[in-house]
Amino acid sequence: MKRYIVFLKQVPRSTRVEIDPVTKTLKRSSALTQTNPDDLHALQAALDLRQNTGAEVVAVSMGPASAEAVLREALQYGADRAVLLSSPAFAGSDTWCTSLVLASAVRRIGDYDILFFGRMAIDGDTAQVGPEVAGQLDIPQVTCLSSIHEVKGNWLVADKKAGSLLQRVEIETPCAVMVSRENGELACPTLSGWRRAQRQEVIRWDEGDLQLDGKVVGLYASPTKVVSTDVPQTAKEIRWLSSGSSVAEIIDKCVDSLS
Amino acid sequence: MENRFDIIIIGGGLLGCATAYQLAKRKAGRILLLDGNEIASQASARAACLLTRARTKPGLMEIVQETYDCIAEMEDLLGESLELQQCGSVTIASSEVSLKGLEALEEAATRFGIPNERISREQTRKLLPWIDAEAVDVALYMPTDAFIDSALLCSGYARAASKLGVELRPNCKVKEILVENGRQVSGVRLFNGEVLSASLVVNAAGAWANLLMRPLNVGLPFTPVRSHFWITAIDSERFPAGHPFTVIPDARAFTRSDVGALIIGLRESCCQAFDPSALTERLEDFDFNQAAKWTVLDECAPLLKRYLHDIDDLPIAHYMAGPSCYVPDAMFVIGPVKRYEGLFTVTGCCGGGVAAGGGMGRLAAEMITGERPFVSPELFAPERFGEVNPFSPEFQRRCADARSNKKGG
Ligand SMILES: Cc1cc2nc3c(=O)[nH]c(=O)nc-3n(C[C@H](O)[C@H](O)[C@H](O)COP(=O)(O)OP(=O)(O)OC[C@H]3O[C@@H](n4cnc5c(N)ncnc54)[C@H](O)[C@@H]3O)c2cc1C
Repeated sequence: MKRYIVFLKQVPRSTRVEIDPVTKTLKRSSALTQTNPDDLHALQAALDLRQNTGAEVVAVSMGPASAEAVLREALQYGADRAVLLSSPAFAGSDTWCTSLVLASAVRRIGDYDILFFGRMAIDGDTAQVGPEVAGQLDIPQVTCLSSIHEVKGNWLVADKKAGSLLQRVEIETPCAVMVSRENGELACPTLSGWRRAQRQEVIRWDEGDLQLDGKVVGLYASPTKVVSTDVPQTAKEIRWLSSGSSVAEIIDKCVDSLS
Repeated sequence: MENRFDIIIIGGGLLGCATAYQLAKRKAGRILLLDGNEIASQASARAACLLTRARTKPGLMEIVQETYDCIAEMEDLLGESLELQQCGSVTIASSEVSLKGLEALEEAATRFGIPNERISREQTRKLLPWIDAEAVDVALYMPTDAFIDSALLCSGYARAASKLGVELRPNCKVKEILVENGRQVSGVRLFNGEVLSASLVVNAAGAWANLLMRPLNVGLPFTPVRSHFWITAIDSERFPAGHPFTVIPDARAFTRSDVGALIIGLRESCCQAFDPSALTERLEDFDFNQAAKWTVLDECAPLLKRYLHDIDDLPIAHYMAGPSCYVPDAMFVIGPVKRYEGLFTVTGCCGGGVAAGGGMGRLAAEMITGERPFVSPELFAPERFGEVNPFSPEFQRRCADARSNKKGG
């Protein structure tokens, strides 16, 4: 049987951030979380492809215990199995260390055909993790995938965005794809899907389960050092014109402020 | 002069804006309305938008009628439509208890002159194609009920008020209500330090109103309680627009079709209250308990299944949760706060600010200007429960129970 592995990350719901003036760290304006939107598109791509190939879809997330929520959501959408990679040793990992952990999980799951990643996470904007995992596993990859055309034997035929162009590519499996939002609409979840997901098990693995040395992952092992974090100063000024005005008044105000 | 007003209203939601409009109509002086966020952006942008006319509690039908009157008046004043959708409503009964409720509603509607008629199964099937009419024993149709986009209505009040001279200041958060000599209200201080004077301040700060009252040792008798609804994916054939909304007391539910999707409102058996001090500045950042989207649907679906067979498999596109300010007797909180001269409140919407906002604002404006009130103000007096502590879990439970025990839509 074919096997697709989909990676999903828990991210803050609001990307509105302030910097704590004392600690220089990010102050999240809210504790609300969500599944990274691009990752849901990756999941949808895997589920769509499963309809033709009958593959097993395994959802994987790395994060604290609360990240189980994104895996429950993946199960609700229809994933067959879910694995949470969680350990204090993983905390603070940069993209390189994260890719080490994810690649180890892929090896442990084994026998895979396609790895599905979202194009990038909205809280880091690096778009590095998927390509790095493909690098660690030494498999080919397609970035900015906008749609999957077909699977022909061991070959995946897909369209990818390249600037303003659309490229049709053929890639040999096992491979990794980074799915962008152009892949199409997400199906809406249902209550019966949620009920099924509540009954399913979420497997948890730590560094021991992955046979990883805890010292090669996490904040201190990460080659990326965040020296400081700043909100870029822009010269842009926001003026709200909406409150209590009619559309005609807003347009007048807009014209006034531009002239 | 710049910073001196006759009246300052805190809160640019439905209740603050409707009060501003009603005061301006009565030429009550120089009025300023302040909101810490955008106007019409908080609870008033999250409503299911039902304007249910028939009510069994005293004074409420008059209050809702006033909202309908305001909408017509404001459309004239603004020269534009506020897009009231007169789709009608159908209340359904399938048990003895709900039949009693339906009869009381029917009696109230008839007494007040609200058109209503009992309809056959066949008519029910036509009017509510998504509901299994076989499960319905009695159905009461009220053709003049309507819904309206609550944010559009709220901005309608604000724009009408502004047209009549009210100054609107969005994104201006009030830090405290100022009092002189321990008794007379003298204005407000903003978070930016600015002081604005007025001898009359109206606290219409919705779910946050008690935070402003706390330093004054006043507890308004309500607390925010979660209200919520679910919206299915679009399926225009199944959920055609323009049909009546449905109130189903036996399922603690309502349904309303809009743009080809179905809005499903559900009330859990044990509603959730929130401590006002836990609220964030903007509702976007507040956690109404994300899991409730599915846990509450899971709890309530079995009751609704009788009417909507495939509720378990309906694709759910959106979930909307927000605070409604519930009072133990499920009646609004409108009037002067007696401990201080010049302190008024219009709060405690009990999940009905869209339908009732215009009338609530009118009652407040009449009391402020000394006119004869059009409904009995005692029903809504802020002090009617004696001293209350809205920050105590026991009191919050009483408020949540007012929603849990609600019968209508
Ligand atoms: C899910 C849901 C469904 C609903 N459905 C219906 C329905 O179908 N029919 C119906 O009639 N009603 C309905 N309601 C109720 C209706 O939405 C409310 O009654 C109404 O919005 C309350 O208006 P408000 O002005 O009290 O609150 P809000 O709209 O929240 O306004 C209060 C304002 O005060 C401002 N504020 C707070 N503190 C300060 C401060 N310190 N300084 C300055 N400004 C401040 C806030 O920014 C906010 O804008 C529903 C509510 C919810 C949550």
